[in-house]
Amino acid sequence: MIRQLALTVALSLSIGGCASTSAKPALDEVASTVKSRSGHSLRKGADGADDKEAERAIDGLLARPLTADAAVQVALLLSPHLRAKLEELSIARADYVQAGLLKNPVLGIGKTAWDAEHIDPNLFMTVEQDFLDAVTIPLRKRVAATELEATKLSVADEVLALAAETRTAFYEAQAAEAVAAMRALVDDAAHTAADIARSQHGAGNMNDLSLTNELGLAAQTGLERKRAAVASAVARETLNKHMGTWGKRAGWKLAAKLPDVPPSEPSLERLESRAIADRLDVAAARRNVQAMGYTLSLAKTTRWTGMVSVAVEAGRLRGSERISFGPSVSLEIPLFDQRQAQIAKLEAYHRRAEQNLEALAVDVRADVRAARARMLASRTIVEDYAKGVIPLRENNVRYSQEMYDAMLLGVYQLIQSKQAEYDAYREYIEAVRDYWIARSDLERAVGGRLGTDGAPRASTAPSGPSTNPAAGPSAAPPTSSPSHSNH
Amino acid sequence: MASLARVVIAYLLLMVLARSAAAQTAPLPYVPVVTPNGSTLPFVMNRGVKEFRLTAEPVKREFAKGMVVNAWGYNGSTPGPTIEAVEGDRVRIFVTNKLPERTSVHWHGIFLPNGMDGVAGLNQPHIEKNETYVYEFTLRQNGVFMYHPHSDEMVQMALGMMGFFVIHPKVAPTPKVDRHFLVMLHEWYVEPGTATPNPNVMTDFNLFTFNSRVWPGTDPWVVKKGERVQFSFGNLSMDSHPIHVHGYAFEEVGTDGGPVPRSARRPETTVNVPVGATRTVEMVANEEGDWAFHCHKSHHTMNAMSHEIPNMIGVPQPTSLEQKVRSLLPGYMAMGENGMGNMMEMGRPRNTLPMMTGDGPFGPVEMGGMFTILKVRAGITSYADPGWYKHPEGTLPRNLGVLPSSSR
Ligand SMILES: [Cu+2]
Repeated sequence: MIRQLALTVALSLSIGGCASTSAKPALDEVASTVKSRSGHSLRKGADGADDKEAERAIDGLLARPLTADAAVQVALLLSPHLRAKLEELSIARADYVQAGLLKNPVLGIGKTAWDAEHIDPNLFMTVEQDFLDAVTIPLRKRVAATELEATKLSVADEVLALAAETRTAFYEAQAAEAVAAMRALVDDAAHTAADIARSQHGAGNMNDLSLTNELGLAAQTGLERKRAAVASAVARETLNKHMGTWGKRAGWKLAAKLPDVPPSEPSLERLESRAIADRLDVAAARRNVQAMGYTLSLAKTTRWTGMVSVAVEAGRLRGSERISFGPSVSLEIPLFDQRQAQIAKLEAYHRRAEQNLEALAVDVRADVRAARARMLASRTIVEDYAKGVIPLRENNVRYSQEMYDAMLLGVYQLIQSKQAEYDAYREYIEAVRDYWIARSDLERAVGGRLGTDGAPRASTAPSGPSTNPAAGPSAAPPTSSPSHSNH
Repeated sequence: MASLARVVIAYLLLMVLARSAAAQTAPLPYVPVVTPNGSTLPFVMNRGVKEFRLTAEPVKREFAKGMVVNAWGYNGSTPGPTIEAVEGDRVRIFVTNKLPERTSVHWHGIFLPNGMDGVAGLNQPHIEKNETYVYEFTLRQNGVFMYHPHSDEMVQMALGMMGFFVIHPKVAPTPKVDRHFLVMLHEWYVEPGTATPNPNVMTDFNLFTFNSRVWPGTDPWVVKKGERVQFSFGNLSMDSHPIHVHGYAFEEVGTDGGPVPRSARRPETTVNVPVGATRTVEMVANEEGDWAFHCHKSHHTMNAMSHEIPNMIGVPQPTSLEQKVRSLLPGYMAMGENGMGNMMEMGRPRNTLPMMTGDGPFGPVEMGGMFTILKVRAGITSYADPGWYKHPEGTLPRNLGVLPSSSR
């Protein structure tokens, strides 16, 4: 009996004692997931350690005209938001290690008091250990391991979310800068027209009314210019927030031109089932369901046993050479609390986790459809601008110039035609921006990059109608299976 | 089938040409009129009646090189061919309607039975599409008259449907008139860059034509020195046109009401041709040269122009400002500060003529619209364009260059 007990305790101690609190393996796993999903890297150095390589990479990326990919990479290497998020891995890892630790034994030492009157006080010692704690360690570790897996998935998902937000912020900033440039050109044109009008007025060829009209137009385009400039500055700062850049590092320049809309889209079939299969937050939600299941079964297993505490008492009677041992057990009697409330609560938690998973899956499917619709609509709008509005506006300028040359059109109308062309360019820029943001949202919704080669990266399993929105084509485990190699 | 049709048409055409040629080889009892950039309608004698055939139809009219207008006219032309006959003739005129809408022909100024007057609805039914009507009457007067539609008149005249009807006196006048030019005055609105006249415009016209041509598309009027010349102007436009000759004075000798009595004639250099009238002036061409002949409303000697562009005359547009515009519009050139001449060969919409154009021997003529050249030459044997006048020694102004201010 004693031997068995000692063995169990020793085994438990050995299990609990060897687990490292380092989050490095979890971080590496998240980094590799992020890399495979987004193509971007995280810092190698864990725990915020100095990472010279990352710092060099950041400065290199910021030195060149900034692209969307570069901005995302900077954010992933630099953003304090992101690094704070990564600390959750350390926290979860610590929780996991904690779950594997036995409660410490309780050592008691004292002298028997009731013997004092007729005998010398006896010295004795007790060691008491929570027995149940030791035997349920594997179960608790299973829960904690699952929760760690969920955390890894959730953190990786949030990294991808930050990447998507940074991408959006980048396109907003890039478009805002280009829009401001167009507004400036329109304003320059209006002021040029106003200068000509002033000259015409000064020469006695334009009345006060017409001059007021021209000056008013220029004054208004001036306001639009200022609004666009401040919108551009704000968009820039939003991107700074996402990238975590400040001070000297906030001096980056944007690549001047928004990337062209790719000539074709990858296959947009089965994106919903791909999202359900691939999304890390869906996988994390599945893990949460699993963890709740384990927690519940742990509670059910220990329902009737309650607290079991094993103790050994050691004492030496006065006048005796021998040390006597006296084992003792204390048991909780489930008389009033049979854990029915705790189990009901855990069951509710479990159901809640399942329903959260289902709700998330419904949301994901809707998000995929919405982003897909937005992306396709933005593409046709961009194409309408590129093939319709822009060439028409350019021709309008050309024909206006012809009319002006033939003295059939005044200089003001000619300049207005040019302004309309700039406005069309601005609207085109906004349309291209909307396309890229929609595309980024779709990638976020699907859980990975879409690629431009027309080949879907996703699983190719067929998707059929399903009553369970969370049932992807592979209802099997999430992409990263829990690893126990570090035990 | 199509080729057979073509052969038949060619045969019919040959027949018509042969017949008309035969009819006109006989010496005419009058000096035929000249319709510059136009033609005279052949006739056929049919048992003592002069038969003419008019087809009302859409036509393409080149106003000048580089501009073709979607007009309506007669026998492929606007103005329609000139009908020429002699007082006392009985004429029979077949009118076939190949327009997309109904029409009629009114014989402006001619005395005739009321039923032949051509006011559709009032004197006769409209001539529906593809129908042929025949008008027949005896000519009881002489003078220069016109013909034009009196059915949807506004549209049909705005698109160019009009022509001359000349009735020579039975007895040739003395002194004999050697040369008689007929010039139909008209005005149009063809939006720059388009080809179809807009019949809804009433006052703001942008093209002004002599026989549906504008300078430099107008042929010169060539006269041999010493000839007695008449010019008849017809006006079915919305404005009067004061037609002015250079180097000469003429006398107004007739209207569409008939000859002006000699006692009522007076010398003029400009004959104002009112709307809905003809005016005939006469002069002896005894001074050689290339003499301008034009409407004196200066907008009428311009081609398409806008009447709404900003007035830039005297407006300083320094190079810096011009550069500023050019940074927006690389092709930009400040215009109008010092007038509008000298800059007319830049870009322009297609099917649109320069506002003012045409080259003379000394440089750009900077004209358009109702403008041509009366070319008087001694000893010519043909009325083909004799080229630019060679000025005798000492008959050109001398350029003294830029004089020092003291000697001005
Ligand atoms: Cu005129």
